[in-house]
Amino acid sequence: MLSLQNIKKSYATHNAVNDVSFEVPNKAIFGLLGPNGAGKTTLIRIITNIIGADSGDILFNGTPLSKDHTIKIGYLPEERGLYKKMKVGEQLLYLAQLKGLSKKEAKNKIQHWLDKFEITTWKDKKIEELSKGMQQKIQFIATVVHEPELIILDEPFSGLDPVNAELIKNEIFELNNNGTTIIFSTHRMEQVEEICKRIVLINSGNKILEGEVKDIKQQFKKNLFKVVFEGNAPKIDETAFEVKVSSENELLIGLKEKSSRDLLKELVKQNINLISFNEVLPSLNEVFIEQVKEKHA
Amino acid sequence: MRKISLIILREYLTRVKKKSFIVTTLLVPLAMVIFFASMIYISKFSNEEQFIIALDESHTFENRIPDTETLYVKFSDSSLTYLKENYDQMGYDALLYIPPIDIQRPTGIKLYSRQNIGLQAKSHLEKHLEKKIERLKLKGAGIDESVLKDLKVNIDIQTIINKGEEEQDSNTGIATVIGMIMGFIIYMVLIIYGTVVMKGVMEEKTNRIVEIMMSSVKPFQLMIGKVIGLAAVGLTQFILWGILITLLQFAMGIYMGQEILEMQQMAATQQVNGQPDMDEVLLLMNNIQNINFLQLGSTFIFFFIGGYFLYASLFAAVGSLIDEQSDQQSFVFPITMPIIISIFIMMTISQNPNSDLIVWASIIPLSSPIVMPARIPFGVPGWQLAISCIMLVLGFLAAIWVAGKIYRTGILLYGKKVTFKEVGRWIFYKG
Repeated sequence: MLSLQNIKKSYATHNAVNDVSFEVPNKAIFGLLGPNGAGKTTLIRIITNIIGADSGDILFNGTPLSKDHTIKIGYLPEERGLYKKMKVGEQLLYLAQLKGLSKKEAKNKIQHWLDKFEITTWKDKKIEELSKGMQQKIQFIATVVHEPELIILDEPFSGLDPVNAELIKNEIFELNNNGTTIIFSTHRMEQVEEICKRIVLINSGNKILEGEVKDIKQQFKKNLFKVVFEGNAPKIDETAFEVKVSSENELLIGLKEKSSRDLLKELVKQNINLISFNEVLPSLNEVFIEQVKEKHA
Repeated sequence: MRKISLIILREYLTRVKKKSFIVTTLLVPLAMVIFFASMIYISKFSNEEQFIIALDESHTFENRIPDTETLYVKFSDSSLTYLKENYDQMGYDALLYIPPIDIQRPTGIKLYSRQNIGLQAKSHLEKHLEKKIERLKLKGAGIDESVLKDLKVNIDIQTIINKGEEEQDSNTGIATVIGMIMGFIIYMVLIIYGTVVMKGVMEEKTNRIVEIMMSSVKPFQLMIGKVIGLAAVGLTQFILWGILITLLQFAMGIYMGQEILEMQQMAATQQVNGQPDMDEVLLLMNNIQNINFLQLGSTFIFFFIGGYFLYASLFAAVGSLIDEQSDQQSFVFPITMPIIISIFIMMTISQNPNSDLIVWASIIPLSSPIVMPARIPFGVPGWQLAISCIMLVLGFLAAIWVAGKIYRTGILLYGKKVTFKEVGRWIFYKG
């Protein structure tokens, strides 16, 4: 769907994006991650044609990205606003027409979304009369109303209450099911694990990681196993395994020389009343923090 | 083009539909008409007839003070004490007392009245008393009045612009006034609408709508759409003012026709000081007819539009640099400065419309929108006008180009204090 190749962008005082390449697969929900100031917004602005890259290529469905692609992209910026004095209906109509819809088309699609969010009564309200959460719904509609092939959401849940966050999340899944590719930019890792299949991690303008979420977790796992039991605690051979954490009914064991299979065999041999035996994978948050720290070190 | 026209339309409609626009568009002509109407009523009120009884002890001035349309003077022989007590019961508004007078030191003339009789009446009386005393003094010095009349010279230099065989009367008075008015209108428009453009850009920036907009349109489209949209708003307002003022004047004419006519007559007689100098009036009329209104109008419109686009785009660029109200001054100053300097230069035009300063100021695009229209009525060589027009077109293209470069970087920059050096770098930034 989208292919970034060796993108570079520097400002007067620093390199915002330094030779970054990654692929966004078609119909994926793709996470663009990184701490504040990593260069996410710069990358997004390059993809949305707001600014140009100093060098590198971007292919959109195999063709070089151009201004013609703007109508195929929907963008919800992190710093978002609307014309405060305009009415909801006028505002959406204006933004939809700027995205290339005819007036009639735009009106129909706006009505569809207002009905869907059950906010038809807001149509004649001025933006300044709406709460921040309400405005965010309008901004979301403005992002998707022209049925773009690629939607870029920068921190879409910030400032939303749990009910509205859930509503927007479900819309994201529905759009994705209908074939829309989504780039989701955030530094909230629990949301990424929940929503994205594939991610790229950026820090200080450099790409640190790219891949499927499950592969990344495998890649950074530390061979830790959680054992939950009842009754007598097992005796662990400290030369082969390492007990990281121990509590009344739980052990967190790290592998040293032997495999997980050996650990399980040992537990069975000791006739332990096992409740569960799981491998502990790192959360994306842990991978993220570790990787960012490592690069800074 | 479709996007620019959508932007123009939004800028236009949101502003024209605003209450403040509707209110000012209606109120300004109404205020003007109310002002004129009250002027007429005030002058009518002050034009009530006044009757004055005069007592001239020496009988020198008797029947030397002519009546006017509203002021009647009658001389009486009754005693001062009697008149002082009874003049109002006799139906007079005031009593003028002229004691036996020493023409070398004419003092002691008094006017008694129950209420102020007004400046106009007082000066009428003074003027004719002075005249009589002057004559007496001349006579005393042995100078005949006809000799004096002969001595009096009235000089009004008739300035003529000669281009080849054609000769044209020019009147610096009228030219100055018309030129100044045009210069001032452009000055006001540049400052007022420039500020409106700047505020509009700032609003989009602080509102954070701009990032959403930028993902649909190019920065240049947004900027130029705003500049054109606001030009249309301004034009609408001017046209509506024109129509409304004409209509209201017409209505006023119906209701107050007689009063206006009287006032105009009075003004005419006053202007020529009681002795209508027909030559002067004719010359004036002739001079107005000699002004080439077609050339004047078209130059005005050209410089008006050129100046507006030049400055409005610069104001837009400045708007894009400003995050908060506080750091506004440092960037606004460099653009308002040339406007203010231009208006000062313009005001010196009548002294010497062809001085080096004026000629250069009417060619350089930053000052020409204000200075050139004001210079036109004095006659401008064709080649200078042509260079000035070309320079203005180039100037406004350059301004839009520079402004576009500054705007597209500035508009997306938050929370950072920008320096002039950085802004300079943006202009030559590629990508």
